[in-house]
Amino acid sequence: MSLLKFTIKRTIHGIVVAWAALTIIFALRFISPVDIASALIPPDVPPTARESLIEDLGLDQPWYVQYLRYIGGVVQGDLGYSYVSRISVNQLAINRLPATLELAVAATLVSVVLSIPLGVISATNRHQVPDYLASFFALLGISTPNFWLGIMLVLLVSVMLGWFPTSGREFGFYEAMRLLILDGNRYGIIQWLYHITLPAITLGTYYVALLTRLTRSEMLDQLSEEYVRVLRAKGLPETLVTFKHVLRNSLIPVVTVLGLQFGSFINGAVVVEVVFRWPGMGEFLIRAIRTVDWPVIQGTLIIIAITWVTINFGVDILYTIIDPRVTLEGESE
Amino acid sequence: MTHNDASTTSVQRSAGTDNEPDFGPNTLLKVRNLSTRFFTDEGQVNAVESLDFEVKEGEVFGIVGESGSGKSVTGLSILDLIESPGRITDGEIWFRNRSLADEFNEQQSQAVRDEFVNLLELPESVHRSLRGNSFSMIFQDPMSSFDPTSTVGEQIAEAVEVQQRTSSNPRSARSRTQGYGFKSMVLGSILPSKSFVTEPSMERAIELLELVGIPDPKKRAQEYPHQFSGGMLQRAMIAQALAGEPDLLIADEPTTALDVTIQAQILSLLSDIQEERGMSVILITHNLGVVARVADRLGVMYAGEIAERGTLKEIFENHTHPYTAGLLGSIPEIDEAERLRPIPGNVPSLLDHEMGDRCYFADRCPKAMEECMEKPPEYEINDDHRVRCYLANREFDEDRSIRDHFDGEGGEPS
Amino acid sequence: MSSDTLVSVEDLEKHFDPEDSFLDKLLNLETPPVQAVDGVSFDIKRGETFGLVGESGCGKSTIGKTILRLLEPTGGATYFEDENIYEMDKSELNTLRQDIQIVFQDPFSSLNPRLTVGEIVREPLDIHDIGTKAERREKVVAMLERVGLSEDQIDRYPREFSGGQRQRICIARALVLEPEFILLDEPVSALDVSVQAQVLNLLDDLQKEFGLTYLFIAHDLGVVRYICDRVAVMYLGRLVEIGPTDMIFDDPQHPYTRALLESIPRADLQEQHRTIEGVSGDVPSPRNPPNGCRFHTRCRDVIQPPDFEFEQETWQNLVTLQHRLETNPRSLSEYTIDEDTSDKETIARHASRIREVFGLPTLNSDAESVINKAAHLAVQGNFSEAHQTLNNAFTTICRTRDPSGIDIGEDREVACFLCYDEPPSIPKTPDASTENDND
Ligand SMILES: Nc1ncnc2c1ncn2[C@@H]1O[C@H](COP(=O)(O)OP(=O)(O)O)[C@@H](O)[C@H]1O
Ligand code: SF4
Ligand code: SF4
Ligand SMILES: [Mg+2]
Repeated sequence: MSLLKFTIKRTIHGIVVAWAALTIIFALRFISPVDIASALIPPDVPPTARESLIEDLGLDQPWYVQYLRYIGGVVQGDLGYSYVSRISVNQLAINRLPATLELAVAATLVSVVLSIPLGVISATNRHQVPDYLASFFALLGISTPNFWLGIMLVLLVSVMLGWFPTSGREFGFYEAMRLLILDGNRYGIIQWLYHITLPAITLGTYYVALLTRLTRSEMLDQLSEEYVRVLRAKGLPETLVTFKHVLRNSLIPVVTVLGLQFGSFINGAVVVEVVFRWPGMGEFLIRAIRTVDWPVIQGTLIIIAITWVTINFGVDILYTIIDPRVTLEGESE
Repeated sequence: MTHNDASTTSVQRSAGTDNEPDFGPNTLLKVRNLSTRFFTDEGQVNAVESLDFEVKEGEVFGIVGESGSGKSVTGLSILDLIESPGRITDGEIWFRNRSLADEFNEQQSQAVRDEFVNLLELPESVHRSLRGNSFSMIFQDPMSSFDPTSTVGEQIAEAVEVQQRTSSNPRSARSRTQGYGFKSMVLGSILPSKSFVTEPSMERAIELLELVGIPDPKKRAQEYPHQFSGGMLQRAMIAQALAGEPDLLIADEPTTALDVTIQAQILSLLSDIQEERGMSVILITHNLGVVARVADRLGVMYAGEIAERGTLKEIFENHTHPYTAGLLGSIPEIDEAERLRPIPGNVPSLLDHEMGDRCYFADRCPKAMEECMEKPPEYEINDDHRVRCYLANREFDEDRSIRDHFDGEGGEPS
Repeated sequence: MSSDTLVSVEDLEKHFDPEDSFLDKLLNLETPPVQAVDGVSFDIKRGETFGLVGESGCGKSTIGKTILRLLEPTGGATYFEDENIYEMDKSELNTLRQDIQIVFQDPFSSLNPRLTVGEIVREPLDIHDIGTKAERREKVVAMLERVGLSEDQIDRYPREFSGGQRQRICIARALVLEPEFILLDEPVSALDVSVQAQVLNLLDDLQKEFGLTYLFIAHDLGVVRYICDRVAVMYLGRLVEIGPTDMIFDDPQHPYTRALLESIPRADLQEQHRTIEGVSGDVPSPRNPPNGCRFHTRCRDVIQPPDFEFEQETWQNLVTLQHRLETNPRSLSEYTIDEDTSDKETIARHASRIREVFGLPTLNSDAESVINKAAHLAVQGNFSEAHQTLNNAFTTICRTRDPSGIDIGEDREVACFLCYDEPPSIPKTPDASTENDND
């Protein structure tokens, strides 16, 4: 199948998924026990003003009208206006999305850089000291809650040692790179690194455990495959057996899990963003939930859903590159 | 009841005897007293037990037996491919290799006799460096024998490359990594010029594919294993095993996973190549038809031992061991349809604590006698024929039969 | 249908549709169906063992599963005692399930590891609610003893048994309902030879004792000869030959049957001196089977076009080239030259190379110019015209028509034009007829 056809197919899939997500998110509002009007409008507002406000927000319409309006808006790329700040959600979200993506990518990097070597060391030294150490480390990672690790890191590394800032994000990656490339000024990128390190470690470590264990068990599975014996029988150096063949095959499920996890990175970012006051979608979402700012809640969730779909698409393409048995048809020959 | 009254023609080789190996003028490999065990949770598995056999230059030696009799473990032991929880616990594997013999004559003379070296006494790295270029192995299931994510051509080229690097490096400089360590590996994956597989070895791989009868070798070399049929992939595996021009090829059930028409193609390919190159082959199979087709001599394995060995003719027409007879009697042939005479009972487990110290076949043997409660030695019937059974020097005696003691379950309700 | 026929399969067809989604269809991404079974007919007589042989993937097991209605056919019918099983209702099917039983190849995965042997064998009785508790137990014990196990093993679990014993348990389970018909799908191929013989003898004895009818599916021809009364040989979803076992083995008529028998290595001292006339190449894909006779791409005896006289080998090679040009021309691209090369000599050199690779020597007949032209076209990358050129000049009936089974007497049928008294004529347009035209 050509890439074009595959893209068309996946786009249609993606639209269906996004629409379903949209509808569920919309329905949430009606299931939610909190009455929007009373949450939004202070009790001392006079009834007439209250009526006109409700009318203004379109809350007097039956649900299907609201739904159609809402869908119509999304299709046109309009996520509505925040109840609270009256600023367009598009605007707000666009400002926030890069921060979250940066954090998710950085956390992915942290987890990959730590977990794959750990997994390889574990598998090649099975039932020996390095393996136990790696397992212990992995266990530690998985049993430490994100927020707790975040707070600990803030206390130890930022407050006591003063190595990294406790919170915030001075520069976006984009601006930092502009500064670097256009002006040759490294200040931005250093600031960016300086601020993202702790949140990325906090978010990444949780997945290190999972990915280390996955890499280890995949490597062990692969090492007991018949083809490894054949590679050895033909005299291939052990380095090549391990790294060229075994590791490559072990990475196939690791990539899948990474792709799936990327979505959870965004979810995990919610907690981490709050701890580090990282101005991303998560922090934004929590704030909107507190103020029952439905357009913002909806908008954020939709953007997260769309990011998900896009990433899965990317992972599928990546798949065909690392595993020749997988074709774009999604079936092996 | 002891039976050390073995006749003068009998040769007894019990574990631990330190007699000198004697090599014939055209011996290539001589395995003596080899034991390989697996130390599993259920207990010690004696997969190969005091095994003796010899492979001559340019011959096809067949090893036949039922599954679990230790055929594969024998092959893997020769290549030092036994993995934990398994270990070669005893024995000698003498292999003719003049340059190695010269090299180790000084430092490790106990590992050298004439032109032969005892692989099990050499440093592990030296033993392993012989893989691919002195001996190589092909396996039963071609589909699982190739790395699914590398092209077939690349994998064969690797084998070519191994051979070339071995012959260009002095042995003493070779380390565990055979001159290709982690650094070269990282560089190789980034810089094509430093990659393990070079252009000439890829070309050689294509030649090899052509040699084993794969059409469009250039194109097929760039394909992945799953794009090949089973038969084609088995050809590719043979090509890969030939890359190092080995003196000995061990083929472990090379046609078992294939259909008969493809099996016939592969067998004739194997014997053509063997004849052309004068290489020796150990052909491991459970199929007596397959050995009949290509082997010169054969050993019948049972419970980790070679029960009987000799030329094809001796084994097929003049066998002594009741197991050999049973095996031959239980194959349905396509030429006749007479009633089969199966061997009663089941294949033994090989667990050390269940094996006992009697003839391993005693509980299934229709001719088991009192003396069989003690392990029989290996008797020499003639130059070409040895057997591990008391019937080599005495007739079956009904009076001493112990058949009633065992009631092999699941046997023929005759 | 004669009264001694128990099972009758008529024109059975099972095509596996690829799992294309609605979207695939919309975007025109459909893959062709796998023609696993494509128009197969045979009768199984009461009390006989009917063998079905062929190489892996030729459709044997699919036939078995479709006969049992574990799969729904895409065409045709199966009659069990004159009832079409695909038209049966629930209760009829329920009775049918008692009369028909199956034993699979792998005794390891066919037994529930959490049940004891007694429970496994009793299960069918429970399901069909037969007898009282005591009667059931009695029956189970009798059956286990009959297959060579003992009563004290009744409370053990499958893992405590060897492969051969497990297959005995499977057989006991199949027999406990006293069926009339048992489908044995490679029942001994997972077993060791010595154990295999035990099970074969057991099956033989049971058949005599209970008057059973077997459909025995196998790829091991030795086993088939040993146990079967009649045999059908399959190739790529079709039956090529059917007849009494001894005749098929002693005097095979279809070129494929002959090649199959030739290929089997015999445990015999003369084996190394036997020249094998097997088959070359691989089985084509059942997604895209060859036109005409499905075996023609590998057949040694493929019939020559009327006006030519090739060496048979050359002709066979020519057929191979034709087939390649038709189905997979891109695989020939390594012999082609750059588009803009017009150098006559280069073209000629490549053309003779392709002829060499495909084993087509220079001939001194009319055929030479045609082959030469086609080779030139092919090296210039013009595969379809090369194909056309060959096709127009050399048409063989084996490529253009589909041989249907023809009765050659003595209860035998063969699907090969060589066995026709008078071969049907070759249609004008090649590939136009893929359906049978003689009955
Ligand atoms: N990796 C292993 N761990 C434990 N036991 C093993 C292992 N490999 C082989 N064995 C045991 O060694 C015995 C001989 O096996 P094998 O050589 O594979 O037999 P064959 O090739 O004749 O079928 C068997 O009992 C088997 O269970
Ligand atoms: S030694 Fe005795 S038990 Fe063993 S095979 Fe010979 S006769 Fe049978
Ligand atoms: S019909 Fe033609 S191709 Fe088919 S088997 Fe007969 S001779 Fe061969
Ligand atoms: Mg084996």
